[in-house]
Amino acid sequence: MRQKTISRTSTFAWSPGQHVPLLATGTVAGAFDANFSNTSQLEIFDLNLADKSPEAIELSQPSGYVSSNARFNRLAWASPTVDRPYGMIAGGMENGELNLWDANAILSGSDDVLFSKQTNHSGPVRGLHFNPFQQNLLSSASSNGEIFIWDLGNLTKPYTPGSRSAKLEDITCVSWNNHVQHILATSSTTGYTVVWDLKSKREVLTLSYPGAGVGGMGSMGNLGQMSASRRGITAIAWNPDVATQIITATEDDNNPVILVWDLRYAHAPEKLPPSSSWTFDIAWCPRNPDLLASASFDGKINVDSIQSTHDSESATASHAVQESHDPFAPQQYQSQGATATISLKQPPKWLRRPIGATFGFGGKLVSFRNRPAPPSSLPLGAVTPIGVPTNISSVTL
Amino acid sequence: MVSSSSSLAAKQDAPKSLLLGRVMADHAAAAATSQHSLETQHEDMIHDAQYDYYGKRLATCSSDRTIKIFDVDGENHRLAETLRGHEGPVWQISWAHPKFGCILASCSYDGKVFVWREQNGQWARIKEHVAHSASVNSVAWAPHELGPTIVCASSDGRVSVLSFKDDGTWDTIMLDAHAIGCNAVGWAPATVPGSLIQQGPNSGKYPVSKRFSSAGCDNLVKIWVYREDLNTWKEEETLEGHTDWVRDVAWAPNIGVPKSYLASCSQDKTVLIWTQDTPSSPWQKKPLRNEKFADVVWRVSWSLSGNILAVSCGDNKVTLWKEALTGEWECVSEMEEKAMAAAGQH
Repeated sequence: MRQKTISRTSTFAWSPGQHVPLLATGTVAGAFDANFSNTSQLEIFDLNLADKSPEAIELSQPSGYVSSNARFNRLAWASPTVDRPYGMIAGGMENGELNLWDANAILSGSDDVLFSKQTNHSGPVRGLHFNPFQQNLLSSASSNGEIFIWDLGNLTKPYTPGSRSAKLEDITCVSWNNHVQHILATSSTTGYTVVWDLKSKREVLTLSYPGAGVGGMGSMGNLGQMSASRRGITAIAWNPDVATQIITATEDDNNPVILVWDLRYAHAPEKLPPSSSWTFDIAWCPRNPDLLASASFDGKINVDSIQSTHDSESATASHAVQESHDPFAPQQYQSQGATATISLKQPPKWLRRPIGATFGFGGKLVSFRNRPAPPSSLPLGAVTPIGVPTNISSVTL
Repeated sequence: MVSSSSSLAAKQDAPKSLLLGRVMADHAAAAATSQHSLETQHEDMIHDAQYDYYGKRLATCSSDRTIKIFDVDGENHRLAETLRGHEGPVWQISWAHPKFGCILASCSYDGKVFVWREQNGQWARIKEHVAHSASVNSVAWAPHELGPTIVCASSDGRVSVLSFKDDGTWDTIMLDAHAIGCNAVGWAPATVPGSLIQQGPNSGKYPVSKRFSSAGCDNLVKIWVYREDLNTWKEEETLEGHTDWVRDVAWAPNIGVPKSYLASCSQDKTVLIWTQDTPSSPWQKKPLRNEKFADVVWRVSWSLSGNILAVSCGDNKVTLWKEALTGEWECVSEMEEKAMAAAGQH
């Protein structure tokens, strides 16, 4: 269900802290607004989610902003630390700069907002991601297969994940694995996604997106047989629950499919149903996993709640709303109505109460437990295992 | 309060303590005297289990979208009925007071709340509440003095209160409660604390408290009171203290003393006990224990005599707590699965 809309042609990032969620937006490179202005701003919006009135859906005023000399390809927001109560915002810029801003300074309107500016990259910086385990580690990637790993504590010496990969040219996206902290995925305009192991400092796996009309071919090797129309990968996202699952999205308008790969099986990747066109950025709100933001080229960033069960009356149905997929649900459906919403058939894990105990009459205490499910050894697309062992016991005190 | 358990009555200090209201004496360890397990045959995770008012029936609900009703006779359980109809996992069930009949409310991820009634051995759905636009996470019947009323908490951030009126229709009041979702609701006891010991010219007519508490994803606990002049519910208090989603909230039954106890548990792995010395005093908070729990705390439940708190934690442990004379809370029992198997039967 649409919660809010911000009219900016921008890339964005969620705030990772434990406060009510904020959204940072940076004027995106490669697109022009109606005024053809070439200004660029980094803004932070307070979503004001408590106000659900229709007038409050459009957010016009940011809580803080800073001007920038270049436009943004990517934003990333690191968790708060003792020195930085709202964390650090990193911007991968179109002029090859990597800039770091103190989010608290932006919100408080202070002048000293820019923490650092790095110019090591030779081309526009499109890949940017903070390591989920060590938020002082930032990965950035650019053209010519350049990948750097930065330590915020010592920005003078970034390091690389291994020798340059032949399969990567302009890198579009980098993403750290959510379970194994030294695994990094990088995707490129060549249509390849390369997975790196930083401990052994080398690339370990390559996923190649088949061009339109070619059946899905799995990971290693089949370079020569691919059709020539391989399109670039625009977005990759690791499954937050399953360590070996990663989603890749491509920029192919004719076949805007999102592929779900499981690295253990080297199967043909699973395909998510295509939408009408493609979004160039999607992100989960890390603190409130119900919220999903998506950016598309119609000039809108949309904040959606994945929990809607049916549409509310939508008056704003005039423009075609760009649909963004929830990449983590293998099944999904679109509800009727001009404003399509995302609903998950399977509820997210954070809603599922695994244990509880309630007192009853007669001094009885009834409690239930769900024993943890066995590790997922089932192939993609399998139905939820039935017969999950549970335990209900009743105790009289 | 009637002594509800033979094991408690056997202990020397129990009858005395019940007359005084709250057990402040050195804690009698709440040892399990009998325990048994029940195989529900649910096909997926179970999310709630509730005895009815007399403990004669047990309802369970599950991610398999069904609700199962069991007849309970001592240690024997017999599956009486499986209720189907929800299109998503069923998160919670709540039995109504028997004076309204054999009635059960259920809420589900599908955004709906169903009210079921059994008549002549047959269960039927007597009400479908579809006003929420997201998962309904909690449902609770009000104390019977308030009439047939249920409150529902939803991930759409709203709380709804449904009252069944004499003419057979339902009144619905929707409230914006917590910006990003509401996880639980719990009713306050109907009798105003302290009223039982204020015998005066108005004795025989006790003031009724119409309040409930809500637990939100905005880390807050809110207390709502019914305003007769406005014909709706208003926020009376906002209790801040948790640093992450509040998963459950429970108001201790009123046992006659003026002090009120409210327990809240959270994703931040803590349980907070909120107390109010008199109905007009401010609420004060106290953590149940100084260290955090090992995992998310999912549920808190007070015993019907109001003095024991059961805490259910994501590390698969259920612990029981009692307030000591010092005012600190002590764990009097820990029910691990293994321990329960070993406890045996008496």
